[in-house]
Amino acid sequence: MIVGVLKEVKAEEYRVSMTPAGVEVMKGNGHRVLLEENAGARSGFEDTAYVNAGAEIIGAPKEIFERSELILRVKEPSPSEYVLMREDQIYFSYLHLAASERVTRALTQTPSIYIAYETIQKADGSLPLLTPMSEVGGRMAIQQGAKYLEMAQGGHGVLLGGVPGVDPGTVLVIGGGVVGTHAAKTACGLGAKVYILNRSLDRLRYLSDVMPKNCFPLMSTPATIRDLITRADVIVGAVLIRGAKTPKLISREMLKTMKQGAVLVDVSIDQGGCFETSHETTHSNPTYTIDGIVHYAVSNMPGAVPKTSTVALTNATLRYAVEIANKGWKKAMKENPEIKRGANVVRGQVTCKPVSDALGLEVTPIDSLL
Amino acid sequence: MRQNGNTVLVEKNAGTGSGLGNAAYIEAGAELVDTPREIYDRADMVMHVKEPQPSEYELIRENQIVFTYLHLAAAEELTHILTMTGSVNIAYETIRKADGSLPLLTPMSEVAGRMAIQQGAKYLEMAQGGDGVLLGGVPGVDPGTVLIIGGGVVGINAAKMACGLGAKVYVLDTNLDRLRYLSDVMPSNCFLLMSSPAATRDLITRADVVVGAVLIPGAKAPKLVTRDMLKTMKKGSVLVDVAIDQGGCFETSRPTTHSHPIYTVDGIVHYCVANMPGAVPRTSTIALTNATLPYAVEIANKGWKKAMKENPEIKLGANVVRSKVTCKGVADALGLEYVPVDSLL
Repeated sequence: MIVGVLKEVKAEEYRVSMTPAGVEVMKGNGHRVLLEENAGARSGFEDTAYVNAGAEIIGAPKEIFERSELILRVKEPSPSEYVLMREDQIYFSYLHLAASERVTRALTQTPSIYIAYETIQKADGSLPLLTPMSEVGGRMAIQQGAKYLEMAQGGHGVLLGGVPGVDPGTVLVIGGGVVGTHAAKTACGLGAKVYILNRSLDRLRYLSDVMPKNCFPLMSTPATIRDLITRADVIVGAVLIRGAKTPKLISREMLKTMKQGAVLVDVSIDQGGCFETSHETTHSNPTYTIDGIVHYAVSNMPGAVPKTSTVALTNATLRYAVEIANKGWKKAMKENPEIKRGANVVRGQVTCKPVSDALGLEVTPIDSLL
Repeated sequence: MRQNGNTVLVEKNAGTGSGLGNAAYIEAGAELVDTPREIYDRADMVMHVKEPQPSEYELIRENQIVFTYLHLAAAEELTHILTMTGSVNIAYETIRKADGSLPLLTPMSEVAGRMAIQQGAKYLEMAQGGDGVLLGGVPGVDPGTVLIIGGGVVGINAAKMACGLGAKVYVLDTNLDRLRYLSDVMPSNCFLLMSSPAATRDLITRADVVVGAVLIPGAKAPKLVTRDMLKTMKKGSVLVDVAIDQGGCFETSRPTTHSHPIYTVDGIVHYCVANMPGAVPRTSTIALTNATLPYAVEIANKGWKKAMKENPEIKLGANVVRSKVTCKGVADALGLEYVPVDSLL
């Protein structure tokens, strides 16, 4: 199969969907890889490294759309690219269609196969192509909290780890999933007092087993949240309820009970955020302040550390990309239910139930198209 | 201070930036005062964090004790002015214990060392000019490499934080005993190496963050990374120069501020904020006053003469006493006459 790797076109998106190491594996499986010029530069991978791994460098993205059977990217196609999509061409990337009727409708107007990273799902319910970015987002959340606590950044001037003789800061992590666990680990490493809330007692037991002694796992209840937000210097919103909008766990009213200059980091902002006062920000203007509380709600946190994020993402995506390239999309979906769950829009039909539910569109079961 | 029988005058709103409101001071027994003038008029001992400002020069009275950071070795004009006032100036930074440690610099070194890593992590972000590495990595991705030059208080606190984030951390020191101690107490992702030009040359090519944490007491920091060496480093890596107060340990360092903390030379991001602990005053104020209070109480209880006679640590703090420069380091640095404080006690 001819596999095309496109450069990202979205603002502040510095990742790339395949590393030179991935090209080598694709080549080893008998495929050809076309790479858009400089696609990996911001992630630390120069064109020469891709050429050495066996890729062909292409100047114009148009040529990649024309020649590739499988297109890889991190983000969805841009409007100017819809017309370039060809019949039965496979586009494999993050799509997040449930949040965008406009993009979904546009994709149904093309005759191509769209497989979304974010809906590929294992039998145990985990989302293997979201996990790595949740890990990055969780770990980054603490470095944001630490930085924006500085007084010159709007915070109230607490050093999270304290120093000998001075009380360390308190970090409240709401949600004990992948994001929450990584945020808690990082905050513990800095020496803060870390509270992590979750509603699953089994998860709390596991966290209690594996986390350092300065991490306190607590059952999540409205009362616990009300109590802990008055003491916290940094609060990380790390709640994901699959296929649904995130619940608003901290209302605007509750901000008044918090310390002035405390920092909220809303890692759930992609799903609408878990603080009532959250709205999306960018890496160039990451924070704003409401009622004295600093809000950090950058929607694409991992984009700021592309060297790490690209490797983390492609470590997870490569095996699926290789399987799709080896078998073609039909056989890959028939044989691997994880990939089948990734089918979002196939030959003009919406094939992903959460997407059709969210947008009120008709769903076509993917099995009927295989 | 109150329990020791002293009266405390606090300038209105002096503690608000550190989270300490006027009411808390009143409750503790302080008297709030509107103007610095009144404090200089009435107080026997004046405490500050930083040196007196020009607006205060004329307020300082003869025989008044001023107890604060002074850093006179780098401030000829201020030294001259203090010698004119006839006051007794005791500097936090030259108070020294018998073992050579500097108890009123240590807490700020701890804060700055710990802060160095959060700066390195933040400015590695691509939108901040860095090369886009997450220091701790994630499972399956190599973590970042942090090089810390100097294994003193700044260096060990920086190393602790970097280790806590999960980075690969190298600490260089020239003292083998110190390296042995660090090897005993640091986590296993901290690698202790003997400092040498060759080790520095080698490690800077691999480092994502380099922390300059070298202090040679009473001397300018040596330039351990030259401008030429920047070319061998990764583009977008971050230098954090905690030694900037002593002139910095990278040739390309120059002091920056919290509002404009970074600049880039040859693709390398430089963070050289001169007063790092100032950004986290709630932590820094407590850390500093934990250390200064016992000395302040002793000076207040005994008066400066008796305190200096009985406590050699305080005696070493005497910088300018009744118009004489009584700190050898300051006198040498400024080419002024040195008068041992013993002759004034």
